[in-house]
Amino acid sequence: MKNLQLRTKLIIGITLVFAIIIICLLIIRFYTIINLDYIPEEYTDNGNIINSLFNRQLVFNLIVVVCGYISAILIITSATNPLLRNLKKISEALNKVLNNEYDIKIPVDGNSELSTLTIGFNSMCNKIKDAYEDLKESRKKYEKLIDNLEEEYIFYSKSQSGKLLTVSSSVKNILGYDVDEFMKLKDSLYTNNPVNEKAKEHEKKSLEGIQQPKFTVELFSKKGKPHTIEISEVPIYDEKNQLTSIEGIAQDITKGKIAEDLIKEQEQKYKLLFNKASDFVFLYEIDDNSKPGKFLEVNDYTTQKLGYSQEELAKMSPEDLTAVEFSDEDSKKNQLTDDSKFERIWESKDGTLLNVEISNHNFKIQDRNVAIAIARDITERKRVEEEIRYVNEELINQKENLEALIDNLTQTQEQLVQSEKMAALGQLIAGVAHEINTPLGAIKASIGNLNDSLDKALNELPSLVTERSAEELNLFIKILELANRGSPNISSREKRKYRKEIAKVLSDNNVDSPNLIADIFIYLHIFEKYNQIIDLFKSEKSLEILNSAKNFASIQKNTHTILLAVEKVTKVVFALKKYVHRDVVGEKVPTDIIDGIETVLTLYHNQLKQGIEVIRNYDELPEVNCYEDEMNQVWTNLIHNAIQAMDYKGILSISAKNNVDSISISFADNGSGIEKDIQDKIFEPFFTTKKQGEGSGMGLDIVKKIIEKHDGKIIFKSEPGKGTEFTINLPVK
Amino acid sequence: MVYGAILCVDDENIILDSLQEQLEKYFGTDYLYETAENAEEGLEIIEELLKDEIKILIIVTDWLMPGINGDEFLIKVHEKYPLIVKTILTGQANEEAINKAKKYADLFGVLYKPWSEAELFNIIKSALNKNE
Repeated sequence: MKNLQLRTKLIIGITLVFAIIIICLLIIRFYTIINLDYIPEEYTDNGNIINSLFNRQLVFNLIVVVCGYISAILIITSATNPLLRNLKKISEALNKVLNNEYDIKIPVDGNSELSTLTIGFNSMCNKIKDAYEDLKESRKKYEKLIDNLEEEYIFYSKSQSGKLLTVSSSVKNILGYDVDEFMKLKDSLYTNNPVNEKAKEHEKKSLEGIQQPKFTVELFSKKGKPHTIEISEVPIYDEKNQLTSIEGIAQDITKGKIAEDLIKEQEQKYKLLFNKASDFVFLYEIDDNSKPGKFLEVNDYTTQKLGYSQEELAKMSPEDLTAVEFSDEDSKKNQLTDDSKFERIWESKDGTLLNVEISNHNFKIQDRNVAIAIARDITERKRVEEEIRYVNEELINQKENLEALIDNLTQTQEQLVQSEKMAALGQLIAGVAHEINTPLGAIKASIGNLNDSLDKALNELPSLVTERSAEELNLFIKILELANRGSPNISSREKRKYRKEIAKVLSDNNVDSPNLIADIFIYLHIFEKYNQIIDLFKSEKSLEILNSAKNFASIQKNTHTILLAVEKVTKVVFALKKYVHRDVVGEKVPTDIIDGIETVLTLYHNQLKQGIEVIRNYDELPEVNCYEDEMNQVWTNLIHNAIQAMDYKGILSISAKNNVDSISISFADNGSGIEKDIQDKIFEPFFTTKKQGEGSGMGLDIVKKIIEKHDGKIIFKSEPGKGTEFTINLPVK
Repeated sequence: MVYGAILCVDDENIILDSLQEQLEKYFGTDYLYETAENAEEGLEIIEELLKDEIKILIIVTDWLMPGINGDEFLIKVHEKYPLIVKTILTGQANEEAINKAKKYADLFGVLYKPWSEAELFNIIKSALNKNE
């Protein structure tokens, strides 16, 4: 019945009503007949009662009723049709709504009450649709949330006895157990972590109904890994204030824990680093004027090394550590508030001065300007640096000294070269002094003699003219004629021979004082021709005449001596002048090589004359471009060496050969020669076989250098005991 | 009669000539003046004079000469004739040689060229005095 449609119900109702009416009509007729004793014939038509019931009246009534019924049915049907249609639409729409389809618009027919309903329904649908969208949205959100929560959270409830009643399936995600598995195993999953002791206490109290703060447990996951779970439990009471259950949320904070542990570990590490660093590490504030403020944090090293406690430092600024005497200068240069690296001299509490190198970095902590700085104690480094600097300076000094020494040596060498030259020159000069002094002595003596003779001659002149006889004057003139005619180069040995001869002749001729007269004859250089006048020496006055003539001849003779002496001096001075002649700096000049050699020989004359025979064998040579004074040094050296090698006695052969494009000069001595084992050393500087003071050992080194400078060559042959020959080859350009 | 001879040795004739003239001028004909150009000749003259029985009083010798040097010459003379007064007249002072002569030849004096007449006469005079 319930499920029957409304229209059907109406039809059934009306049908029932009409059926009742019909039944009533029938009952009424029946009772009427029963109660009638008489039944009209018409009613008993054919004698049958029934026939009498359904007489014509009844049929008429029945027809009326049936017609009423039919029309009622028709009316109902026609009246309910649009209603039903609408209802059907609504019902269909409702069905849709029930199927979460809210996008519905039912067409509205006419203005009946149903239309109003339809409109209402439509608007309701819209609202429901909106609400449903909202709901869907938030449900999505919540679903997501729940999903997320289930990643980390397990929801559970426990009975008063502690038995797990429900556990959310997220336990699978989090710990890897199925729900049932977890409910069974839960008590065996606790790790040995001491945190679980506390957790169990909390759980116990929670079961007593006492609200507990969050606590953590550590449980093994199915994989056997310990998970740190944070638990919040809430006891639930019913209306009668009876504890019914405990609801709990468990969160896996293992990752967070790990992170936290990591942070803790990091912090510990940094703390350790901070405190154990063997540098001053400190944090200080920077005040509003950008000046360094108080220390905020200092490491152990800082307190230990500076002798100030943390508390003391907390009242100080890093700048307070700067040693007073250095503070001004330093702080001007570098600000402790700069991001920079600089040095300071700090004074520790006990007054020790420390060199520190500070690097600091400014930054902000919660809007406060602070700086962190690392200061390194560089006192030792400074000391070492200082030491290095000192050692360096020392080295530089030494280097300078060495350089000076080398300079000195170079100078000394140059001086040696020079002194070698000077030594050679010195020896020459000594010899030259003799060479000059000798004629000078002669000149000086001669001038004295000349003077005296002139005086005497002048004194005698008048008497000679007035008192002498013609015979005597004749002798006088004869003597003067013969005087100074004899060879000037006659040796004293020959002179002696003549003297003896003359004295003998005179003596044989009975001339008085034959020796005296012979002496005067020799003095007057009358040698062979004494015979021409010897006969005249009969008179007693002859000796007087001879003496007078001697005075006059002396003038001539001394003058001649002076002339000879001057020539000798001139020669030496000229040679000397040539020898010391300086070239125009750096320029070679065409030079007569033999002239140079002869000049040196002249200067060495007095050394050579002692016992050395010089044999000259000269070709005619072209002029050679050279540094004249340097070449003179070469000849000097070689001649000097030869003289010494021969010990002033021997033969020095000098030969000059013209090879057209070159010339060869050789100096051969017959001296001691050079020992074989030192032959390859003779050109080395400072090598000498001479006694100290006699030679520097630079001589041949210099000679070689000079010859090489002239693109020439120097070679030698030497045989110990027989002599040495040096040959120089010079190109002719 | 001469008192003795004065011997001059020098390799330069101009020295011998002028020296001899100076000596004659001062000491006149009382002495014999002999000259030699080198030491060997000097020694020869000494021998000759001794043959002639002429006593040699003084030797005036140059130092730097060909052959035998003055000091060696004097040393040789001294070995045989220690009484002769020996002097050196030199243009070049070689200390070593002078010292050697002083030590081994009883060198009386040294004159340096160029010498003055006064120096020469003084030294000869004092030498003659010594000899007497």
